Amino acid sequence: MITTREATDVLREAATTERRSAEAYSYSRSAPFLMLWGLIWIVGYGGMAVLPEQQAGWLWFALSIVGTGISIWLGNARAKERGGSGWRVGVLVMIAFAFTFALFSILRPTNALQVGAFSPLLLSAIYATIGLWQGLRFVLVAVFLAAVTLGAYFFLKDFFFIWMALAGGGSLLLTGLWMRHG
Amino acid sequence: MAEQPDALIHQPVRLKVMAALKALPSAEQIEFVRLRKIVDATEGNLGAHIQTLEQAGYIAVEKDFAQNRPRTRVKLTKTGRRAFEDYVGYLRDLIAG
Repeated sequence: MITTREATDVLREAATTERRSAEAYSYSRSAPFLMLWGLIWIVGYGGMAVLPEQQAGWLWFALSIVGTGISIWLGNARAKERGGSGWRVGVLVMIAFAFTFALFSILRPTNALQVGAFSPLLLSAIYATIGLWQGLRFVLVAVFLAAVTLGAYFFLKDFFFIWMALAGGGSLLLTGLWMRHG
Repeated sequence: MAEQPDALIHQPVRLKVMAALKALPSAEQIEFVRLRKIVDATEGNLGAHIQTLEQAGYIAVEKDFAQNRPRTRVKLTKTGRRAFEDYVGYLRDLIAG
């Protein structure tokens, strides 16, 4: 017969391991999406830094479609491994686009910097929320992303887009690589 | 309440293996390498305990090749999930008195 003290310790150990496992699983599931959108940000914000506004807009439009398509494909590929469906990934991206469209309809941005700063801040809020349940690394990337975005918006206006390409896209890419290895 | 907890699970490494697998969605597999990192065990030690749990029908092991490299993946069976829940229930009952 084991003691109540030993039983308490065993349950605590089991709970700790479950949490670590759930976090590692969540990280490994999220890593490909972070790397994908990190690359898209590098190209997209890089384009905004060097292209005329209209061409940069079309570049983002094309990148968004490609990114959404690959995200849905990635979600489906992982879901199929365990006999499910990855439709939630597609819906999540559509919710983000619908929310952005609705918000911009009401609070119309007056310049490209505001548009460029919005997505990283939205993503930061989403990751910070996810991190409350799924692990500290999501919170860290959220705080970093929000800090580099606000820092660039207020203090690096002339280099905003190139900064977001390197620091924003780069941080997503590196966090994805970090999470990939658990 | 049973006299003793499930002896197959009531061992530090096997307890961690079962807890780590329990945290995954049903039918989800985990790679041996990743599991080893989570339970913090040596390769040989973990391999031996996995074999014990597999023989009891608590976990299922699948070996294949991914990108020309051997890969071992492990998942919890329904029997294993039930056994772990019973084990945790036993401990909770014990604490509750």
